[in-house]
Amino acid sequence: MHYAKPLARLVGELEKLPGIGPKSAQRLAFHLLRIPADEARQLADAILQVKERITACQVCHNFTDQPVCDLCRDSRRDSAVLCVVAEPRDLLAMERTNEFRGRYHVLGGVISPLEGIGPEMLRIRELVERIHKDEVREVILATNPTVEGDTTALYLARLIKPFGVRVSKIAFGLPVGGDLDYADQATLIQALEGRRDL
Amino acid sequence: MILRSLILRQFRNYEVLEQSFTPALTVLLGANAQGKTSLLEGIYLLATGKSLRGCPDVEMIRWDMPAGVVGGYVLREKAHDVELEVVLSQTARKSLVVNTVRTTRAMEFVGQFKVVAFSSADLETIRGEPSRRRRFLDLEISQLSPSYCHALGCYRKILEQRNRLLKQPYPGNRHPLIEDSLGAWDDQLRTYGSRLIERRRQFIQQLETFAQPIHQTLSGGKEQFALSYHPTFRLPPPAEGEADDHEAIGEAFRRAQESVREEERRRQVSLIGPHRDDMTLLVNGRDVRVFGSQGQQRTAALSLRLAEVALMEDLTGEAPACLLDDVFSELDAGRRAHLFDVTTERCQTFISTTDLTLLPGPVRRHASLFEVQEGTLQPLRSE
Ligand SMILES: [Zn+2]
Repeated sequence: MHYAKPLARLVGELEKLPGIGPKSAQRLAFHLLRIPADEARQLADAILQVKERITACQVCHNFTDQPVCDLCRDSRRDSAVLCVVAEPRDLLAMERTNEFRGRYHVLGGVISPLEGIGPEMLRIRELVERIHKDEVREVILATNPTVEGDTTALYLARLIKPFGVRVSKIAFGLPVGGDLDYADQATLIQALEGRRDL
Repeated sequence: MILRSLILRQFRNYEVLEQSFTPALTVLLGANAQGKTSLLEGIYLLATGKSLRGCPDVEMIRWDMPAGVVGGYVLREKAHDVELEVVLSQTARKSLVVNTVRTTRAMEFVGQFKVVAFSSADLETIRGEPSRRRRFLDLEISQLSPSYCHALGCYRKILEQRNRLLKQPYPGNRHPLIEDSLGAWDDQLRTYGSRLIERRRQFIQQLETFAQPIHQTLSGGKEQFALSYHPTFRLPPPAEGEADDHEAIGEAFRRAQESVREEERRRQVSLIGPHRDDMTLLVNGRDVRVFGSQGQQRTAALSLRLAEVALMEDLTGEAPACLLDDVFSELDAGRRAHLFDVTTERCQTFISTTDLTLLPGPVRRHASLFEVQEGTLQPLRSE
């Protein structure tokens, strides 16, 4: 397929996106060609804005456009109960349940020696500091029910329990080997209710 | 269990094959390398999700093709009939499909259709490396127990992660709050490893119960058969309650892990766990692998497979399908007849052979016969 140069460049950039093959890239590029210039500018601007303005929250490490995110500044939330997740998308999944009224901590991944990720590369030191500073009473571990997610939860439980904090892990009802952000809300509510001590 | 129909697309040397089968006996006749074993391999893949010959998935795809498919429709007495499909791809992980729904976990697929395969490679299970016997245990128990199948998958992943961790040097500038994660991997290895050990011990004991009388018959009453299980640490004797058993095994596992910790660090590999287990087959009290004649080893291999058929039927209430891949030339007439009796009497059976005269007369008359040639099937008239 021979494209005019600017079009070839756009197709090339779109192909780099996850889940986008050559065919989809071509379809998207032709779609973008057809839309009004204003709309195209808005899309380009939105992408740039995200890159310039979104950073990690200084407290929980969720994505935010402020130094500290809305969830961390919400005084109605109980700062003595922390829900630990691997990624920001897992936090969003938990929030969709509207059940949890504590605060979050985003680890930034799970322990996986095969991918070169050890506990020192996750935000575990920050988690321990928060537990001491905020006088946390309870930590709910909400990692994905995969081998790596479960091992990370076990690791954290061993680390945190000696501080006299209640440590639990959501488990009930989640499909084993699945992804937290694909689970439906009913499943997640059940998981939150059925959490167990480690 | 009856495999009603089989579809092979771009699988081994088959371009497209759609074939239905009788509930009784099917005989595949043909010269070597025409596709007899490949057809049996397709059937085996539907049961276990694995190659009959222990090959990597991509090797089963037809030469130069991007993907291959094996599908089948299975009639079951104790469950709803089921449609199974395995899609092999050069570029992606294989898909295991049950009733047109792609499964996310092997445990949802493996064992929907149960098969016992007899082949000349069974001799290697008897006399080969311990990994051969572990493979035997894993394939057979996985068909019987979805939870074993799941625990096995988790265990392999944990083992791989833990071995990688052992190979990493200690980072020098570790924060005092961040300790090594090896302890968490130890717990995981022990949790899933204990489940495998518990189930293997149970399976070996059940299999022995069925194998003993079979072996006696096959050896004309001359040989006593026994199986013994050898995990990497001494197991507590089986407890009454299942929960107690689990805990006791876990505790013995933990002590064994502690005793080798330094050695594991030094050798950078996991030394304790079911990935290093073995099973011994004893004939008249002696290890048949070391002291058995080739004849004794063959009989032991046959006893083991026949015991498996009986055990599967006993546990599930339904006879598995049997695959007999070119096994007759190695057996004497008496053993051949016994093998025919047991398999064809109760199970849907598929036999591959290069020589029809190896089959007993009555069997030849009742079988549906096919000639296999370059990946095609031609029906032959029964005698
Ligand atoms: Zn925050």
